[in-house]
Amino acid sequence: MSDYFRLERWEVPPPDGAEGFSEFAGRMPVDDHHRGAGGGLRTGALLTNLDSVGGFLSGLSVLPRWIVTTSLMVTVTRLDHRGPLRVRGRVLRRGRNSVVAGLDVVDEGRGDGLVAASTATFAVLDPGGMNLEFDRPAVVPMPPPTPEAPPAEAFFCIEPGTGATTRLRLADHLRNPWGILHGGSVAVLADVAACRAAAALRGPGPSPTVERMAAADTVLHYLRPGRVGPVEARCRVLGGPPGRTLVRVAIHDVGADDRLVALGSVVVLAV
Amino acid sequence: MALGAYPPPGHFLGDVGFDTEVLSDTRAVARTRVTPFVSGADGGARAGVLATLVDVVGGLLGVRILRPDWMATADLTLQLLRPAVGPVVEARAELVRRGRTTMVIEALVVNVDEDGSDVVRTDGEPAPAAWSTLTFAVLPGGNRTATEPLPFDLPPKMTISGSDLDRPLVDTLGMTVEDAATGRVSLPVHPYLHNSIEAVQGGVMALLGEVAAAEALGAAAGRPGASMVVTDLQVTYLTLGRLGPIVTRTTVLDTEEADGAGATSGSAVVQLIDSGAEDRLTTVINARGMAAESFVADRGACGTTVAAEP
Repeated sequence: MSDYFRLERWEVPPPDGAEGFSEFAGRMPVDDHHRGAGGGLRTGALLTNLDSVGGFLSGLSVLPRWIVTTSLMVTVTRLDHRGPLRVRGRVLRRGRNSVVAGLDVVDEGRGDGLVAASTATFAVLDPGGMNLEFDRPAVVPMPPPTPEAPPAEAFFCIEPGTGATTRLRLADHLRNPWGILHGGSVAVLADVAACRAAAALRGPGPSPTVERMAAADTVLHYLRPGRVGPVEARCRVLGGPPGRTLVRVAIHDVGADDRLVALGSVVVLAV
Repeated sequence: MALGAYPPPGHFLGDVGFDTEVLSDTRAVARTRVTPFVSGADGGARAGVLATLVDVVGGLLGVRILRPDWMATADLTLQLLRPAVGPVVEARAELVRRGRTTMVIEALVVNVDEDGSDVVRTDGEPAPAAWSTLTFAVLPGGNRTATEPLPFDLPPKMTISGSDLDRPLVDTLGMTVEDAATGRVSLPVHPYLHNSIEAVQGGVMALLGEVAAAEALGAAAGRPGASMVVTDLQVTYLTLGRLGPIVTRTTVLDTEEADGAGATSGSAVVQLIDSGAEDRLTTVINARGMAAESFVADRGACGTTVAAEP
């Protein structure tokens, strides 16, 4: 997963003598295989990177315990990124059971113009046998480019299709260190599924094709782990103001008694 | 009265007026009448008022599910799909997940007629006005600030009523726009707007953020804030707002022009600060808004709903 997204991350400790938590930064190129209909990084990929930066940031704030994502909310202001994109995250609140992080994303290729603002919530838990030893300040360098990296649908094992239901095969490389479906995989599935559902909308005029659909503002609540698969995103197009289609996305683990794994909404724009 | 002694007499929830009904162990509805005093530039109930409605129905459902534990709203999202012009708006809430420390509820808001039937589109299809999600943090041990214990048998139907509003809700609550350009709005804290644990009610915080975002986006567009409709709210509650005044700090993220007519939509981040508690950050709200004339424009392109789930 990290090689595919090539996310560079680094800890920004508080100034000497200052109290508080470290901030965290990340930097990601806009590789061609991540580009969406808006021309820049597709929102599912952006959410994956926000989850990674926010998760690392929040996890470090609760050591020796660790975290799991419970919700991601992002407001997207533009989709035509030039890149690289840079994320800055900070802890807004650390409680006994949860951590809330605020994350901003700027486009270095557009003079550090803001492209997204996000709030993410993480539940605190016992890490079990997970290795949580880090050199501090923590630094994760950017992996080199991957030749002929597949597009998102292929990498995330999302089956071809159209309409209101989109299915993902739960391959091992889509699991996180806990062995469950990575939050970023859920985000990309929601992105792809919502765009397909919006494209299938039968309006009075010509319907845009899915190639012209781009996911923007997104809300995702992670409810239960996805363990078995296949994982299915079931969409309901709710409508919305002109030019913005709100799609409710319910994600189920079909192989685990069809239980609901995540619920959220994606605003789809025709670009 | 609704839940024990909450809300007390002379409370804004009573003045707005809500009818609630529990349909099952996992479903409940709440209704409120759309009046000019709770409406925005689109003629429909403001997003912050709808946030209050879903917070009420979510809280009602949550109390039943969680008791003897209590809860506090952790986050709330609401997306307006069309003007919530009523004449009555109904929030239909359903439990999504109840965990050990959190509970998630979703709610669909629909326009309904006086007789309770759905208001349909011109093509006869139902048309939701908004969609919402709520996350509640579970507070073990019940509501320690309650002056009366929660009745064991809560009636399935309740009415929260008081004096009707006689002026706009934002004025009744005491919100003051101090600087539109920076989206600085102030709210004094008093029992009239308390929640069940004696802090500012979550819907009021959402409404405060909505007003601040509308003012800042309007100023950025060179038009009055009152002409803007905030359509999307992503509210994260960090700490309780107890002392006040609660003041807002607003950052406009973007504005977008349409047809060369000037900026007509945009988004903003609003921070709600408890100025009486050492400027503590209590709430963060991501908001999106647009000019009212854009929001009320024809929705013919919405077409037929595509659904894999009912």
